[in-house]
Amino acid sequence: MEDYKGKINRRMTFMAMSGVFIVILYWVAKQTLDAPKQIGFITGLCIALEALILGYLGKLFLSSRSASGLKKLAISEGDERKALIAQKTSRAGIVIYAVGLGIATIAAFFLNETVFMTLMGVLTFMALIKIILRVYFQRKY
Amino acid sequence: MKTRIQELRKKHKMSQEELANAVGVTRQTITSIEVGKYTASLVLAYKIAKHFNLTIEDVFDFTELED
Repeated sequence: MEDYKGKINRRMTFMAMSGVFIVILYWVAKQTLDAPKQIGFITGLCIALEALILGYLGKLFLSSRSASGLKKLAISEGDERKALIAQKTSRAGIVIYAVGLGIATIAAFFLNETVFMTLMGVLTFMALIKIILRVYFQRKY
Repeated sequence: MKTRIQELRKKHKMSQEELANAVGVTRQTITSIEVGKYTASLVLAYKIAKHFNLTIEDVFDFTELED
């Protein structure tokens, strides 16, 4: 349990640093961007990310205060049924994203070349990552 | 897969939460195993059987596999 507590502490440090990094990124973006739409988008994005980070940090902090909380967190993170659900969700999700992106790519072909090329790039990147990961896991297992 | 986990828990006057904590999974996992929605891994099946001082075959029903 001491090892796990150390792991949680490192994770909390990393999340806190990420939060600070996002604030710095926001400040830099605000200095460089001119258009209100861009600034608004970056502001919303940073607020959302910070909220997620703070929420997760709070959850980790509350769990790490007691041995029972830590054990509950460890069980929750290591639960095999949760892992299976996450795996199935990812697999189904990726198929749905790819099909959706494929349809959008085809539609973009007739409407806007820049958007079409961007979406093609994203699809190609997704396919490449899938191939690399498949080879990696086939060798690992 | 059918199991005797609910029967064994009641015999030992144990809640799902207590069994879940003892074998290192969430209560929802124990619930899913009891209703047959989820099949435990070999390691988890061993932990559950060991907790009741029984063998895996005594806790989990493998007759559907034999058919």
